[in-house]
Amino acid sequence: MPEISDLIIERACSGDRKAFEEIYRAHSGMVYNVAFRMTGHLETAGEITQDVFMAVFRKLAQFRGQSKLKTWIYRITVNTALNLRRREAVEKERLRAYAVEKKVLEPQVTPQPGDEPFDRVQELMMFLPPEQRVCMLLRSIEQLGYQEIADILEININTVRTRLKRARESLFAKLRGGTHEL
Amino acid sequence: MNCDQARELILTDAIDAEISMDDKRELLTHLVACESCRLLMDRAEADLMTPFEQAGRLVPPPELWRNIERELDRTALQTDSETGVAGPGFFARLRHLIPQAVRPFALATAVLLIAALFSFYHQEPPMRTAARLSPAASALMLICERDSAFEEALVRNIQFDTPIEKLFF
Repeated sequence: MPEISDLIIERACSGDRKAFEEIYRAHSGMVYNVAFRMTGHLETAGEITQDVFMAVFRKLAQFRGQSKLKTWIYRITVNTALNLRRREAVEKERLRAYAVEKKVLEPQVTPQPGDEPFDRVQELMMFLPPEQRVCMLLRSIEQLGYQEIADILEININTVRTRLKRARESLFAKLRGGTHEL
Repeated sequence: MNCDQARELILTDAIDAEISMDDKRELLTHLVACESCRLLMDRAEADLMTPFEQAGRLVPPPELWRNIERELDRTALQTDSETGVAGPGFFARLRHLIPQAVRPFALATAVLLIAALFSFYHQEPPMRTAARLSPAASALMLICERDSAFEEALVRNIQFDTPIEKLFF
């Protein structure tokens, strides 16, 4: 991932579209992958990536440079993905309540092969609760250190450690008890 | 080190290469003696590290940037029509226009200017008005505001020559 200089950030702040495109080219892969691993949907990952870069464009003037640009964009990505999941959960619950009230049966949607690249790692990721999933994702796939993860999520480094331990214990239990053999 | 402590280290610091030298030494000593923890270490690396490290990375579709560009154009147009200021915001542009070295002085000047204006407009009303009026007008204003001492002094020095002046004053 190429480093973005302060000059490019200043130029992007003043509305230079080329400079902003440079920021996009440098970080969009990371944003798109994190969004996909958090949600499991390509389409949603695209929407999140778009939302993240619009937020980056709006807030770039507020970026003070105390953290790295990469850490700042990771933080926006994770927060956007988690907020979207929360909104979806609320919407799903509202629809379920409506269906119960109206005695309407919800259609059973099962992921089919070919619908999405629903690989084995992704299946394991989706098995974890969001706060453990995001730690696993940032550590094991994005290869970030504990301190960087703590900075992105704005939590204590020991909380990162605890979430990783719990996530791995859950995955071990699933792998031993289930049909998955990695 | 017992098995619980070893297990905790294996599932976190050890496989993530965040382990301290002291913990590493203790863990290695434990692993030599404990077969189940050794097995856990092997399985943790094989099941919980390798597949995640080798997970494929997706490339964002090219239309994503085009969508963002469209959205940026729309936002710029909206900003134009709402505030008459284009781009990412008035203050962002202003910040870019003023060189970084001059910013503290510009800020200090702005603050001093605002403080001076504020103190001027918070003076006592007669003083403020008198500062802006001619001496004759402020004398008249003071009479109107019933400044009795000044009024008497003024009246004493006025010659009332005509009958109508004598009648009224």
